[in-house]
Amino acid sequence: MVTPYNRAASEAPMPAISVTDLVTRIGAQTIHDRVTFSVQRGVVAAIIGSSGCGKSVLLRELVGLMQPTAGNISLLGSSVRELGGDELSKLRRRVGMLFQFGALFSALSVYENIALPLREFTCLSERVIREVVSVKSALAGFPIDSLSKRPSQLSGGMVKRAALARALALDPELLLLDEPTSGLDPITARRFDDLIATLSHTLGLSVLMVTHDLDSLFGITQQLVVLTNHRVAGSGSVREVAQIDDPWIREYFSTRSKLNSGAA
Amino acid sequence: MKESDTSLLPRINVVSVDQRSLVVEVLGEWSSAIFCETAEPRWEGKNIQFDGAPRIIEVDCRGSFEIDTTGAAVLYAALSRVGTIGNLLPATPEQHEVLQRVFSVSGGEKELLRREGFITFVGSRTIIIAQQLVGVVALLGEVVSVCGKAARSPKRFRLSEVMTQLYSVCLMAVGVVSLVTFLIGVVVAYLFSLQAVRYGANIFVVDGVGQAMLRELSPILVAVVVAGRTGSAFTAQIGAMKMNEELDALEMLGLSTQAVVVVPRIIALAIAMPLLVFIGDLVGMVGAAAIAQVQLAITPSFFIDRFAKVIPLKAYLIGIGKAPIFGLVVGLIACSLGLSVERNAQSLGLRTTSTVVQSIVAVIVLNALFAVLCARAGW
Repeated sequence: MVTPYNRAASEAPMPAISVTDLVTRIGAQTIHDRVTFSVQRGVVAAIIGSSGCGKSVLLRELVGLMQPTAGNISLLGSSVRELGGDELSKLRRRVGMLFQFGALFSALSVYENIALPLREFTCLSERVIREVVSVKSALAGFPIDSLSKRPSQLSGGMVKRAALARALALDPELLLLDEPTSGLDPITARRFDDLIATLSHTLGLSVLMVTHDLDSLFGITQQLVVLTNHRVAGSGSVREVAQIDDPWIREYFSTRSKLNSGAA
Repeated sequence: MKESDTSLLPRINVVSVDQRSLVVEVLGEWSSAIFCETAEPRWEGKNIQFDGAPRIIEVDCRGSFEIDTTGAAVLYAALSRVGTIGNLLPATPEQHEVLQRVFSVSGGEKELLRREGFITFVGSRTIIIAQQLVGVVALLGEVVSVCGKAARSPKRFRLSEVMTQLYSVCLMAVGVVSLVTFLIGVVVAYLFSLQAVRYGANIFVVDGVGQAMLRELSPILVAVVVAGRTGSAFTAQIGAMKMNEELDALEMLGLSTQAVVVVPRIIALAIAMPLLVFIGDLVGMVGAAAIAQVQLAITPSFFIDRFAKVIPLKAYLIGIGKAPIFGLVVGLIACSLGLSVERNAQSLGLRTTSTVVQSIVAVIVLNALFAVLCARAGW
């Protein structure tokens, strides 16, 4: 492998994410107790679990923003915990992350937020960068005439879209989404799902999202990882997971069936 | 990809061209990764004039691979300079989907060109300064009205909040105020002594340093220290509360931001300033007395004796009298700028800096005004 971006490496059948025996303790509190799962390349996967069960912590550990107590994390074929400095930065450039509250740089306009990675890491001219930024923001559903606004002037949904456009700026191989559709109206949320599904299907993008949006789960996810009681209670297709005999999973899916019967 | 291996680089090969139509082959890799190493796609084959002729472009992508959304946008940016995209021959159905999706939203680049002109720049800055001035005056009005209400029902006066502020504004500032005024007392007395020795007028050092310190130097120095130390802290605190929607939460609880956050701070500052100026007077004169002893052999007891004889009470009163007004102005500027912080990190920094600059300028201008007034009044 000559460059860190060599897509030829991605042809190899190694999983996009592989987590083995992950243990996280913060103080006396155990957050993860031997969590193990993997996500294959090109797959849209989702993590569900009750609030506060460490889903966001898991995402942060995947990209090395937090250190787990023990266990192994492999991202796009590299072991995250063994990487440091430049190597980790190179790996992170191949991963797009959408933070729960967008984490847009408040001192920059939306345009500058999306252009930042392009200006930093590509050799493209400003004119071409403008075109790329306008395309990415349009793909993410962010209106072009609002690109000059500051993040503080945007609504919650707009912040999400701008943050997605920034996460997609360098066409990552893996996208990590922390509650991408929360706070979005259902129409925008489905458009968001559609975009994720298209990117995954056409560019082989792998996606791992934390979500509670059942429509996203049933619509676009091929794999579901259930995190309860600090462990993985089940992993597989939505249909498979729904069959698992676990009190939390049963209750989780019953909220949906109640809704459906109520509508009918 | 190696440097020498050019077959991977993104290229556009012009197969045929005339005024109406253009046929191009898109070759090489068109991914984000490749554009981290090479800038623009290369044009090959026949020459094209970038003359704005309305050409319809037939795009053959069958010789290309790895076209991602960045690559497609770059391709669009390159092709849109020579015509409009017509027929598309993709390598795979997936590639077609990517190109279609990107091309359908492309062309927004031209709308992004908007620059601020010089006149707009000057105008917007002027408006900002005017708004800040109005903000300070408006806040003064609100503070007075809150104080008026508090005077009628003293229970609503937040004494504990004022005390908390006094602790950090006054007590914690004693050290730095002492240091600054001591050193200035030393330096001024030294410079005076150099001149006085020449005329054999050693003892007049006491008169000169005493007047300068009590009337002008101590109030100004203390106000500058307070502006830098406390004013910036007020702006940052209030700005952070505003960014965190804490001020909105206060209002929703039926409390007034002015009464809870602003007035206690300003009152604390107006009380702290005269106290600090008094300490400054004292420490500054100690510094001057030390230099007088070392340089001019004036003993401390003689220094005090002379000081009591020649320095009128009004010099001290003028200095101390200016102090609460300086405190009020610094507090008003700091709180008003804190309240005008927007919800971004940059504006917090800008406002905090502005507080220090504007407070110091305001204090010096006010001091000059006082000097003129005192001169007119014959003090």
